[in-house]
This record gives sequence, C-alpha cells and structure tokens, in this order.
Amino acid sequence: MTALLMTMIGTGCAADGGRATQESRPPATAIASSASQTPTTAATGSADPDLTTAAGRTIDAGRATQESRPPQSSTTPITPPTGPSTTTTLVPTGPSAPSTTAPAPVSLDVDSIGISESLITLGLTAEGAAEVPTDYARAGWFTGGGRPGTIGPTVILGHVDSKTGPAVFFRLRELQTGVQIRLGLADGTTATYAISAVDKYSKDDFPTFAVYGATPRDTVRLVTCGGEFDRAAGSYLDNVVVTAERIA
Amino acid sequence: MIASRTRAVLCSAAALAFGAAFVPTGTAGAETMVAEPDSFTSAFTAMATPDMVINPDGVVTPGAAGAYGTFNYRINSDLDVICYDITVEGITAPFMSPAKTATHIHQAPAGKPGPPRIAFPNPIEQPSGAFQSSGCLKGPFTTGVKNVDTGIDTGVGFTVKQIEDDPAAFFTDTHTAANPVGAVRGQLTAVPLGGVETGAGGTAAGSPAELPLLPIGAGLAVLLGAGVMLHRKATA
Repeated sequence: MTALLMTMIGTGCAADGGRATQESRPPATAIASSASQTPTTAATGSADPDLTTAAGRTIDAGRATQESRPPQSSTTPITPPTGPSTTTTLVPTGPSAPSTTAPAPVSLDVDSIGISESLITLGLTAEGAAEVPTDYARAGWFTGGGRPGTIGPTVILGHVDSKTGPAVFFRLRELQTGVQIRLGLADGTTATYAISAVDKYSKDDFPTFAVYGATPRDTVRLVTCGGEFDRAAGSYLDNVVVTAERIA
Repeated sequence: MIASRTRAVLCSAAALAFGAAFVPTGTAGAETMVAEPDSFTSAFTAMATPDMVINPDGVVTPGAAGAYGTFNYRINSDLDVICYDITVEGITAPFMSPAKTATHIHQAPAGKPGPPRIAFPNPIEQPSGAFQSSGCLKGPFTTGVKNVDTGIDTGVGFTVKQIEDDPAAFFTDTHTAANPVGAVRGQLTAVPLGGVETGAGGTAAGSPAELPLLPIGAGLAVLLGAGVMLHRKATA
C-alpha cells in the first residue's frame, strides 16, 4: 500500500496539478432535510419498550432510537389488549450487514387473532409495486426486504378479504401493541416479536420507506388493506401496517 | 506548499478509498440540485453498516465501529433525477474523500470495490448527533474522480436508469477521515412503490375496528427524511 500511495502521489495525482486541491473543490452543499418535518403521530409511551435497556448493543441505542426507529403511532383500540406486557425487553440487535443467508420465514402465527399460516414468497410486480398473494387465504413475505435475525424489516403481506368474504388478514386491525407474533424459520427455529404499533396509511400517500425501508432493528411488518372501500375500483383506500420488534 | 500537501493527502485518500485506478480530478459538479419531482419510477433502500466496507483490493475493511446508515433513494429515471434521504449514526466528522463529496453511490456488487457514480452532499450533523441529508440531484453526474486509464470522470455517462436495471450492482457509502475506505456501506435493494392491493370485497370497510388514518409523513418516513410519498406511473 505504501508503494501504491507513493506512486499515486508522484504520477497520476501530480498530473492533476493544482486542480486536485481542497480549494478547487466545491464544498458539500448544505440542503434542507425533510426530516425536519414534525411527525403528527402520538406516542404510546407505555407500548414503547425502553430500547436503551437492551444490553449488548454496539451502538448508542438511545440516540439511535430517536432517529431511526418509527414512532409508536396512535391507534384506536377496539378490543382489550390480549398480548403480554408491553414492557417486554427487546432482544439486542446491534447493526450488522443484511444477510441473504439467514433462514427465511416460513410460517406466521398470531394466536390472538387465530392466524397460523405457512408463508409464500413475494417480490415486485413489473411495474415496481408490491406483489401480493393470488390466493386470498395465503400470506407471503417480501423477499427483497429483511429476514428474521438480521437488520431490516421482514414484511408480510396478506389480503383482508376477497370478493366472497374475509381473507387471511381480516382480523389484523384487531391487533394491539404488546401482542406477540411468531415467525417459524426455515432452520426450524422460531422468532418472536412484540407489536409496537398499528398504523393506517392512505394508499395514495403510502410511506414506502416507513414500511419497507432499512431499519437498524430486527422488525416485522404485517400489511393488509383497510379504510373505506371504493366499490367502483374494487379497492380499499388505505393500508393497515402492524409493526413488531424482536423479543426472542 | 499547502496546496501540495493537500494534494498529497487527497491522492492518498484516493488510493485508500478507490484504489490506484481512480484519482481525483477536481472538476466542478455537473449535476444540479432540483426540486422533488411529482412522481418516481422506483425506490431503493440500503442499510449501511461498517462490516460491509470493502477496500480497493476487495478485502473487508471494517468502518466505524457501531455506526450504521439508512440510505433511501427515489428515482425518476425519465428525468434522470435521484432523491436521497440519508441518516447516518455513530460516525465522526470530518468527512473525507478524493471525490467532490464523501457520500456516494458506487457501482459494484456486494463484497466488491467499484467506482463512485454519484456524489451526494454529505449529511449534516444534527443536535442528536446523527448526520442527515435530503434533496434531489439531476444528471448528468460527475464525481470528481477519474479513471486513470480513460481520464474520464467516473460519473460521466452514468444515468440513474442503470440503478433501476440492476440495483444489486450498486452500493452506497460515506467516507470519513477516520475511515477513508468507508465508515459504512450498504447494497441497494429495490422496495415497492405505492400502496398494497390486499383486499377486494369491501367486507372490512366501515367497521368499528377502523384505525385513525395517519397523515402523510407520520412514522419512520419523516424521521428518515422520506417525507413525500411515491406515485408510480402504473397504479399501485
């Protein structure tokens, strides 16, 4: 490496002369960030586990969680909480490279709403939208996202209903913070998550990165339809997004 | 003397960051900052971590311990525009690179080194200690680094359509003085545009179970700087 540096300094770099100086370089442009916008979502303090208690993290967890974790969105409960205590300690998941070798999720269990399903795989449509199961009774995971045991969200999609009645994720909107979700993995192990938020977003303004974007934590998101139904279009106007964080 | 010393530092940085095949050109930027387009044709995300950093010889060279970055990109390939929303945690300024800036999209698959194709403004430190940036750039692009064989800037000829065609062939990173090879690095992955069509019957509409509709920007999108939503040409 030393020889390489000397070669560069004495040849290629020198050929650039004074142009390769700091003075000749345009400075990085200071730009306004849309991150300055204020979220209007209300926090559900009791449902937000204290991530700073997660032992063994290799990062400044407190600071990280302020900037990179989704806020715990408000929800309208319609049923009493059926899950465990919302103070469940999260499993430490210090950042590491995304992995495609981590075991894939193969099944989903949410006992409180009677879901126990094997998972299919989903990708992108030719138009760049999310592929969804053709079978309304099946749920699937987006293979372009994260996997259990790694950073990034594992995103699971399922229909709320079909033209003939309720489908696999019909009761998804009943979920509340603290409820546990279990993913069966291809290696025979199980990953357990606790719900931290249940949100609804207009499809017209769907926050792609809030759902699919990279996260520093082992996160699961369950997505289905909700809101008003446009009968002319045969489509719901909103999406319901359940977010859960790894606890075991 | 100062310029000479600076030039030596920059060339050293070039060797460290990109290898002997690439040297700084000092050329002025060609790309322009533009307003956000009304629509996008694709979206990509990368979780950048220190263990993904590769030196010019292809050897894993861990970056800033404990750091990580969330790099979200939206592209309108018809306009050759890329919008960026970047948050990096756990790094220490100053940024440093032989390129025009120290925050880039490079062309190379996972585990391989490759030349920068786009140089983004470096993230700015926030009161929280995180570094953030967002905005939109329109091609043609230059990086301030040239290929020594061709003498051509590594951004020349590049269009954002190339990312759409093969996102796995690109990674994003940022370089600091403490970690000139890269503080964090992550491979781009495509994410879906628009909402999800997961209902067809209307049986779930209007029930008491309905959740309040969150306003645009509520949630992670805002904190990550995504802000504006995506509108695909085709209905999502």
